[in-house]
Amino acid sequence: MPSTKPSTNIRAQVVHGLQQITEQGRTLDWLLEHRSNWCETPLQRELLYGCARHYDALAATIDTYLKKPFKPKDQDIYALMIVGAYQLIFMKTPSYAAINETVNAARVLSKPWAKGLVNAVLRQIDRSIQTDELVTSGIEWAALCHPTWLSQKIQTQYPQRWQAVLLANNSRAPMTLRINTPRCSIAAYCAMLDAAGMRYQTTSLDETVTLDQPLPAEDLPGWGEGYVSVQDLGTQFAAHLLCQHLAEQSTTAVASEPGVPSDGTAAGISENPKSEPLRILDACTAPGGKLFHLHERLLAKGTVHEIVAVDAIQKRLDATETIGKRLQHFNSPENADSSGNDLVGNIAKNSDLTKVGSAQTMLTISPLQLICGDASQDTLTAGGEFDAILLDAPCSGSGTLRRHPDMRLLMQPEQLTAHTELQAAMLRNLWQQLKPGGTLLYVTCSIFAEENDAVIEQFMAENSTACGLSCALPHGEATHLGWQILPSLNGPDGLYFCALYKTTQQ
Amino acid sequence: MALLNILHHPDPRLRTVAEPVTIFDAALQQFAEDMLETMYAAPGIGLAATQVNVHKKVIVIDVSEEKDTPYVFVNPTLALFGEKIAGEEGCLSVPDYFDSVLRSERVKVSAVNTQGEAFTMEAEGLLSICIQHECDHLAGRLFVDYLSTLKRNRITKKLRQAGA
Repeated sequence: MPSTKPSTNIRAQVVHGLQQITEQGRTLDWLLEHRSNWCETPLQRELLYGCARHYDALAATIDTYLKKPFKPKDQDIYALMIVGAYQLIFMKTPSYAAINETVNAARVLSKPWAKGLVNAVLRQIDRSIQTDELVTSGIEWAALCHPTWLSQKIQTQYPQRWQAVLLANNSRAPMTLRINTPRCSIAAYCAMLDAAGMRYQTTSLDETVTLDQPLPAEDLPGWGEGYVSVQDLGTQFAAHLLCQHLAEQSTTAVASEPGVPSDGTAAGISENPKSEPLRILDACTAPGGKLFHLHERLLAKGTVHEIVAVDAIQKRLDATETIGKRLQHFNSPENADSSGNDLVGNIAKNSDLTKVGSAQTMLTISPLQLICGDASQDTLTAGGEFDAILLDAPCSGSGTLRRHPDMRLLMQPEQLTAHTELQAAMLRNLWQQLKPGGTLLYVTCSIFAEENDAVIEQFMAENSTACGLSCALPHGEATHLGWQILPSLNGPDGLYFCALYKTTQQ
Repeated sequence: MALLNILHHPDPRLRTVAEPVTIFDAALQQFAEDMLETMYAAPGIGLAATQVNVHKKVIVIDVSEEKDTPYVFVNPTLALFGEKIAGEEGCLSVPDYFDSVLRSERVKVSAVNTQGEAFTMEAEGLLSICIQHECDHLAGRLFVDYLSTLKRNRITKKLRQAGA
């Protein structure tokens, strides 16, 4: 027997994909890697991501038309109805086509008996859309798209803003680009975007733009040359906050307390080029977005610090290295000179942008080491303590639900405890490796206080040497101890930041 | 190791009834390995000796996702259990055709391995369907035999044209 029927019915493939998520607990990332033919076309991806995002609400809608639940072996027909309902509600397919295609897919799934049922349910849904009985845009629908425990949790923690959070979770994340400024100036890259006819908006960070229309990263201008990365706006504040504190540290090297940095511009670094190189640790680095951003910020300022990046999984570290190579973060100076900067130079000539010339001088690359290790237990290097540590702690990811629509189907409330224990263990272990006078920046992509303020509060209660530093960012709001960004339409993901200063006295 | 040539319907050799294996030697072991290699390369989840023009009772199967659970059945006999369930089937000897066939839900196989040691095994789901499908080959049967005369004739005609 042949292994699989080379099914050409897209809906049947999406059904198999959805079942992998809802029944096997697989992620969309797993599907992209292991079942790439199910996610090849834009239509397949739209259906898979959309059905995952709206699964619970679509299921609730379908359930109102079903007399009894399906048997376990017929869950594929249930998933097929979800796919059909999604198309009817959210896609521009004419309803007769959507219904017809979905009904035919029942035959491909070898369940011709279900054709009548699928047809009847989808026609009723179609009717309720036509008569405006089914409302799918408001907060009620968005709440239905979250498991009850999750929407209630968000409502309890953010009594004022929970509706905006749920609506943002149901939106599509914008595609935000980080320009690799040491390799390509902002003006030069924007000119490349203009030339390619790609429309974009500027953001609160200079080196960051948001595209109006998302597209595959490989199709971006200068992607292969490493001029640009795709990174959420919110996560990019990590490098800026760290640079801000590094600047404080190198300028006020012997000052006792940095006090409250009010408007820390990172300019201090370049003004003090003779200061000793600092040792920086990125404790959970993969896939390296924050690491390379930090490195780019330092390169742009012409500062050389030693950076050690650690991750617990070698495979993820290898992927990080690949990304770093594309961005030319490991190149020897000669390489950088002949490939990277020549290209930048050419662009400068062509587009007559004088500012690009400054890239020529930025050849000094900080020593950047990638090490496999567990931030919760290991002493990460023999090289001594660190001046600054970035702990981008593993978390529930509750601030990134719009980017991972499958997550709301897979998240379990019990998992939170495991996350908070690991976060606390990492903080405790890394604190030992931070020099007195150094700064640790704690970051999660969670909006749950249990993983954020609560972890920090517990840690500070145990450690008299830990002292909170204030953060102020263009998005989000101050919490008791740190700074919380909530996901918003077209804005950054949900993230938490807290900077801790290590005092010298015990 | 070597890839074996797979016969295509309507080749009359696919209708040969296989003989039981009586000699368990290194050649049999090698043949089973070649069959597995041929099956994986197709790519397939099951292959019967009949399909590679060897008329001995040998089938190989691997329905695992990771392709790491091969089974070799020599001289298999089947006992069928449960309801008849419709499932989509295809066949490496009837390329690019798929249709629904009724098969027993569960099956108990008695067979020997390539060393001649007897074993029995129960199976359900895809493994059950695949075992029944491959054992049909040893008896000279193809899955298209279960389809309507109209469908079978249409497939036969198309494949004959493709092979000619």
